[in-house]
Amino acid sequence: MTSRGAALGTARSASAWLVLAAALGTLWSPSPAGLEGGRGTLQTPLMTVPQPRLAGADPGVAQALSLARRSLDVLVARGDLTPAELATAYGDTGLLYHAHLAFAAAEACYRNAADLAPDERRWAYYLGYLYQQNGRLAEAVQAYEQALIVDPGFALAHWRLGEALLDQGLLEASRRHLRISAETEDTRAAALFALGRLALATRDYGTAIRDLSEALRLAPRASRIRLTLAMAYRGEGNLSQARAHMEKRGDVSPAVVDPLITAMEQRSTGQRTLFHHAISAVNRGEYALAAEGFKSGLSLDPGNANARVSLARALYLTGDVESARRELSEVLHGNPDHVLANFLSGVLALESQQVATAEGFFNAALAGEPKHAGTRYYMGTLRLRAGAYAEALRHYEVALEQIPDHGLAQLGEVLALIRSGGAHAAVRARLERAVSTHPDKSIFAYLLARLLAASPQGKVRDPPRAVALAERLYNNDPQTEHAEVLAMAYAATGRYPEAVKLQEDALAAAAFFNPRLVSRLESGLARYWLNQPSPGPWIGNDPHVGAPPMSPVLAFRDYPTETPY
Amino acid sequence: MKIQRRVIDWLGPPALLSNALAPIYAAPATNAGQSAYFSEISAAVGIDFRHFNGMSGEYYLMEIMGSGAALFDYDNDGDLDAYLVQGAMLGPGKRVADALSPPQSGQPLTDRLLRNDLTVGEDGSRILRFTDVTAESGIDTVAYGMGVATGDVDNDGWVDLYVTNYGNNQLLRNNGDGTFSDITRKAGVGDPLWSVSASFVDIDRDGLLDLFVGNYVHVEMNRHAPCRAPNSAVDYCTPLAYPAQPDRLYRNTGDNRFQDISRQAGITSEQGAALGVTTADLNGDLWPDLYVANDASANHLWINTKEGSFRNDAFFAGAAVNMQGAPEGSMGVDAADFDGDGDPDLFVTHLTRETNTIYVNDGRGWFEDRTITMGLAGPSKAYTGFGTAWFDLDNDGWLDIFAGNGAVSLISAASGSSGPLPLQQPNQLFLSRAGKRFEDISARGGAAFELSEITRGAAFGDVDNDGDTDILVTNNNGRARLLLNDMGHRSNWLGLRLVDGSGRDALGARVRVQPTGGSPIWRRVRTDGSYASANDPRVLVGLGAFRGTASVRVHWPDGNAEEWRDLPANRYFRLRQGTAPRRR
Repeated sequence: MTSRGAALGTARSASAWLVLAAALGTLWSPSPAGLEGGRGTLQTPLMTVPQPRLAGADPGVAQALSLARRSLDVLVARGDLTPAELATAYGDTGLLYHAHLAFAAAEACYRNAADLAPDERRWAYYLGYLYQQNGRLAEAVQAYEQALIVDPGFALAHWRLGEALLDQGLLEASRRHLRISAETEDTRAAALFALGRLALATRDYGTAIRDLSEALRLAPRASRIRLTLAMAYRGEGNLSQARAHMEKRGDVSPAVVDPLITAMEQRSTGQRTLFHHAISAVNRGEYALAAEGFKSGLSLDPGNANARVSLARALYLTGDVESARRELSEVLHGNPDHVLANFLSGVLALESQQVATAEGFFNAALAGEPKHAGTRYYMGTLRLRAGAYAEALRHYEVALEQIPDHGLAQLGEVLALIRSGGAHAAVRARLERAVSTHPDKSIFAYLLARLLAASPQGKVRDPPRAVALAERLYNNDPQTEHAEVLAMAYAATGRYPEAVKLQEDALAAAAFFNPRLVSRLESGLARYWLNQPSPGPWIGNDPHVGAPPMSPVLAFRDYPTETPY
Repeated sequence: MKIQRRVIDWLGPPALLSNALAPIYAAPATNAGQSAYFSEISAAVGIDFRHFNGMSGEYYLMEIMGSGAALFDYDNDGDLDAYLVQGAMLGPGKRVADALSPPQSGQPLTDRLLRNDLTVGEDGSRILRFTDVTAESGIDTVAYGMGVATGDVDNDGWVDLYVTNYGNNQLLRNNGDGTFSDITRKAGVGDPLWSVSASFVDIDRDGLLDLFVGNYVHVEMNRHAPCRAPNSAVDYCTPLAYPAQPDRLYRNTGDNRFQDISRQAGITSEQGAALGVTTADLNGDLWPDLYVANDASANHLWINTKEGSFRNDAFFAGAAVNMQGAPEGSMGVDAADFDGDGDPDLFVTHLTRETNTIYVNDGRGWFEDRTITMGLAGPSKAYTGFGTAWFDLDNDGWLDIFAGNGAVSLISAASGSSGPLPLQQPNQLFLSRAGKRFEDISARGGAAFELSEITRGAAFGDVDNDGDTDILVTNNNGRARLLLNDMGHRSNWLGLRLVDGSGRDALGARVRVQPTGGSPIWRRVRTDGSYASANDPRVLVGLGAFRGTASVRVHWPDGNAEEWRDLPANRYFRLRQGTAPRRR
């Protein structure tokens, strides 16, 4: 802890005292020892700034902090600075400490700066942010409130204060500040996310859904909102929406543009600190800022291949595909076996329709890590599209060993198995598992219903269950394919009149909306008229069942890595 | 009374069961003049254990993660003995002399077994004393110790030990004569992965305790490279720097043998860096489920399919991540019905800058993160929590919380921390306000809560048999501390030891205590939870001002239920499955 009690409780009186002293023309003469000796004759209670612990720090960091500290000592020792100038000296040094996570030293600097310049909102704001980072919420609240006294319209302070109050369980006060910050564009999505959580905490599911949905609309990449939204829908009893959002959950929070915090983080000097801030920017979805951070870090540590891959990913996500490609090439030039660089290079090559080149990269990735899930998924999908189903199946199986519940890989595996003529029992086992792990993904229920309705194998066929599955599908989403599969299930149970009626309706709809289905619906209808069930479960080139997608954005944005730098 | 004598098997000599309690130590006053809840009495009662973490400046992750402790009655004399897990020197070629913090002189670097020699006078006065019986017990631990689990694996009525290590784990069979035998090899449970917490649980309800082992990450000593904090200073690595390890599920096949069914049970289908484990019927289907607290990755909620396998439902159940959708650094965990609605809820301790998280069960195994409204978010954000439990501190019938704290990175350590391992943080105590909110009452906890140490394990149990819960706290690179509850026994209580037909503690049994005219209280027989530690299997139910009799309905792990009526307060009872009186 620091050497004084409440951070801001004494700030105003101390600074008032300083102003009074200045007005009376009193000159203060700081101790020659600088910070350690306090304020000499005036005995103003400025805080001692502790030396940060930086055992084994990068030389660049140690040197930067040491220089900054000496400069501050010199400025303080001069004795001719105005309080405002001295506040800036303390505050700027605090920023440098803060950027290097030397919290105790930064805290002392900010508090001195806030004491010396009580009309400057930023020092109180930085102090609040520092306290909030360290879980010292009561002090954070005080500091933000101080910043808001100086600038009542400071939206970022309202938002951060609202978050701190929310963590303290002070819901009314939190709601008040969050609502104010929700009126400003820069903080609106983040504030609504917090308001949604606040509503969820009080089991006001309707309000939570409203606020979170709006937050998601404003920040569609903020995939963390989806889990919270899923919980709100679940609370309200809307399980299908809950599952749909749960499926799309991710790790990105709503981005907040905070120039003050960005300015602080940009004081970083060591590459690790720069990389750390860059990763934080990635997590906030601020890819341009992240790219800048990685570039700065790489200027100090140009051989860091992992950081360069992260730079490539950030560049791609800003839309600068060519720069991303260049960075990946540079990584592979020095580290030809780098698995993630090879994988992402393959993804980029595919995006440019260079399939052979992509396969070269993917093979290189697999040489380094034979079970690399992403590469296996991509190779599986390439093979599936090429009609090499057995090979596709093998890739998907390896991918699923690593990520057993990956829905797209499960779909690929099922399609590969079906198209390679795999045993219906094996297909059913995989579909049963997929339906249970992804009840929101109707494609699995669709395929399973077809199989249960029309498999020629008695142990696999289960027409009553096919009816139940298909009815649920159709009732949830009465599209043509779902009508068709329900008719198929009815026919399998001998309910031909219902099958005919449904197929006729589907045919009429398809004639307008989905002409490519017309001929197959007609042939099905002809069978049902003759009281004949479908001859088999699958349709060649079923347009409803395409190969799973290969999304470069997903690969660049979401593919996990344990070593981002 | 006559009927009770016939059906109730007393726990121990009548003197132990007296309500005429005279505290061993007068409760010291806090600064505010109120009595403190706990006295720290380890030195006074002969618990002289200092953890050695083997650090030599290399920043191995293992050195800041241990170790735990167990409270268990190894000699069946009716009081809780203590098992304390010890570390070792770490690093290739390193000798103890290289340690930055030397070990305690005069003690070999092995786990310790301390026998509780509690004596209770006829007037109810108690003398608590622990005697180190490690040497005569034959216990020989061989690796860098992390944690311990307790359970009677062979249904012989003597509690056995499973010790988790960085290195091969060990199963130590209690021979019933004060000694233990290492049966790891025969049992087939010597998991070589880095294990921390484990739990004995009868997953298939066949009457034999199976074993779940939570494994952390893979750290190769020979390829160790120190990590850096974001500010470039040398610091401990996060678990994300290492591959997470698969957990293990061993099925007890009898005759002290286990079969590794991790794969077919589905447990290896998902990985996470497991630190805490608790088992309970979380979805109300009368089958035990598993909840695994993972460090820096989503927690697992393994729902028992009743067919020898489990499926992870943590995300949709709402217990994988916090309300913001973020995985947290989960360490300690406990499951208990803190809000009195009859289902087990979850509490998980986390890193500094995260909250400890309370997941409230709706009875179906779906949870809501209610940390904020329970008042637990703010007070926990500045601390890194490890050992924890829901326990009834003041015996008012509502479960309170202990959180043992200690940082894991130099960046997040309190600025006042010092020494060769400056990760110290104070522990915390939260009092339940009728299951609706928790209040941080650490300031009233006693002198032990003014200390700042690196707490890891915490084992909970009634060490002096006075009807309230005491805590054995272990500190990394520091002393073990016994916190004696000085306040709980001032309220009324009912103590239950539930055993199955073989006399084994019925881990997983649920008990509904119904004070006459009062609200029902649900508790569970467990030794697991917390962090790397094992708790008293007895169920202690606080009754507050209620002094009458209570009826007790036990839902045994095999699905059967029995009821005992008119049990008087302020005593321990041993209830054996199949012995409840039949009502006409």
